[in-house]
Amino acid sequence: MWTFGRKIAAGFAMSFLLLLGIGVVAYRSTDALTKTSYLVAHTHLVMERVAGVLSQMKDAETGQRGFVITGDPTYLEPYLSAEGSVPALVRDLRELTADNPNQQKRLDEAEPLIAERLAVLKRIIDVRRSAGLDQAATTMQLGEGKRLMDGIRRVFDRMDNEERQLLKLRGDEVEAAASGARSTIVFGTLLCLLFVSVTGVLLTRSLTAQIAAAVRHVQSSSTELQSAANQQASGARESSTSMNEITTTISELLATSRQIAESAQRVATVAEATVGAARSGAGTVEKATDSIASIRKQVDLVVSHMLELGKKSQQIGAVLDIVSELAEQTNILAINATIEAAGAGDSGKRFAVVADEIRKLADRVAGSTTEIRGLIEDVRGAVNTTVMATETGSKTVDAGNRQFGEVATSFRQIADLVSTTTEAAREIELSTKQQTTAVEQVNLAIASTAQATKETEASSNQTLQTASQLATLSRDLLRLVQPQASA
Amino acid sequence: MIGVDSPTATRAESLRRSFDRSFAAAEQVETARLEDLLTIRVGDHPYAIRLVEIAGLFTARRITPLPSPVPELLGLAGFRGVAIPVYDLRALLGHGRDGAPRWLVLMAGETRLGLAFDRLDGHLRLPDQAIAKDDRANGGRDVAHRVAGTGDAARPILHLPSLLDAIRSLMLQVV
Repeated sequence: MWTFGRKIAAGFAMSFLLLLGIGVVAYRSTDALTKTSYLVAHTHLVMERVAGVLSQMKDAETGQRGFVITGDPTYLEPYLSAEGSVPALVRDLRELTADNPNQQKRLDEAEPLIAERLAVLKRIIDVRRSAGLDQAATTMQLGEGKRLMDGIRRVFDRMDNEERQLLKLRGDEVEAAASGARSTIVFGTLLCLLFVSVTGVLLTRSLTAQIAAAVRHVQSSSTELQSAANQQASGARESSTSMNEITTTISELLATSRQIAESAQRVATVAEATVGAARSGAGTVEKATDSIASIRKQVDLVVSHMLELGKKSQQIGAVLDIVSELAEQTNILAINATIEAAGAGDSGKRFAVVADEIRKLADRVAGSTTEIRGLIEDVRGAVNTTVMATETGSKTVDAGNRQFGEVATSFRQIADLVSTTTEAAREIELSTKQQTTAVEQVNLAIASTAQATKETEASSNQTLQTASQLATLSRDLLRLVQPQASA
Repeated sequence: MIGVDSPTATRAESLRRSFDRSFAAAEQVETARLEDLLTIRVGDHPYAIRLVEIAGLFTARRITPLPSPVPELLGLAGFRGVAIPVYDLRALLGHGRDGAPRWLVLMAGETRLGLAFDRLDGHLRLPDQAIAKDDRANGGRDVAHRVAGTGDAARPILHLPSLLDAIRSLMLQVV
């Protein structure tokens, strides 16, 4: 689709071409007319020169006659003037008709006649001076002068006739050129007017349609722009509110970052103290491990003693078994003695008493061995319990030793970890300080952004006003372009 | 090492004094009739045997098994060069048989036979008032005629002549 400028340029170009054509035709017609006029003037000049030569020749003849008649030299003045000017006039004619071979031939024919005529006049004048009037009249009566003059007149009449024909021909040419120029100017102007009118109408219609469409587009765009400006203004207000909240949040974040930095510093300090405590704890644990090793040795010694005590108890038990066996045998013997004493009658009564006492003693011994056995069993149980407890204790000590080793390892790990924690806390402190600086910068940036948002809000309001004005202008423009459409 | 004040030393001293006192005391005339009893265990059951009904108490005697249709007969044991049949009190009293009995008594009287049992509890000397008459049948056989009060528990007293009669009747049943 052609643009406005292109259409207008095309219209103006066509008009320019038409005007240029008309101008060229007019120029050429004028040039031809000028040339033709120049040629007409040239023809008139040639005719004037032809008439001038004849006139000078007549004046010379007149002066010669007056001198001949009067003998007064003053009458010779026309003759003398013609004698000087006629050759110059003939030269002018030769130059003026240089482009016309016919006229040159005629001049070639006329020039000896003119010279001979002037010679004849000079001879008669000389005769008059030398021989008097009669002789001069006689010479004149010879008629040579008349014959020459008639020849000159005939040649110059032909030249004048040709020039007159040329003048007529050039007059026709001038008329034709003027007519062509008039026609060209009239028809070209009419054509140009017609073209300009048609082009104007077409351009007006096209441009009106395009401008109307563009104006409607502008109107709709301005409406959209108005809506967008409204949204932008509300968005800018919301952004401004959000920026205020962000600024508040960032201020809190800044305070929190500072607190974190301080906390990280305290953590680093506490971690350093913890490293010292952990190393001290590791030393204490190593001492405790040594003590536990000593306790382990003591426990092993106790176990060996307890086992020895158990063996002794077993030996006591074996001895006690013998004692118990002896008591049982004694009891059997006493019972049998009692039986025998009973069978012995009265003599056996004293023996029965002894046997009874022996039996009682055996009973007591048996009771005592039972008690001792119980005690020994208690001792053995206690020994076993002690051994088991000691072994459990030994295992516990071993476990404790291992656990202390693990505790020492844990303390070392704690120290390492706390060292790592210290470094981490320092890094956190440094990072938090950097973060604080960054947050301050962000705060400044947010403040700038908030300012920019306020400016954006103002700009949005300005845009809204501009969009409203643009909508009004587009309506006005549409009313101007298409009144019926906007009505 | 046992200390002076230890319970064992105290017990030994007590035994020593009692033993010495028995020889130092004057002979006492017994006014009440006393009964000497041997307290035993047959299986888990407590019994008593009159000392006057036995001729001796023995332990760990080697008993040679003897083929016999009477299951209560354990075998033969040697006592002072004489082979004497030994019967199982557990079987005779109907308490079942579980392992070899360790103790045995030799019955007094003309018929010599041994009665084996599991455990000897001790020797008792009780007055007649402490022994009550009990006609309760025991183990299906009439061998315990009296019950001896022994402190917190009463135990039947085996009547060995009745037991001998029972053995005889067993022998007669077999024959």
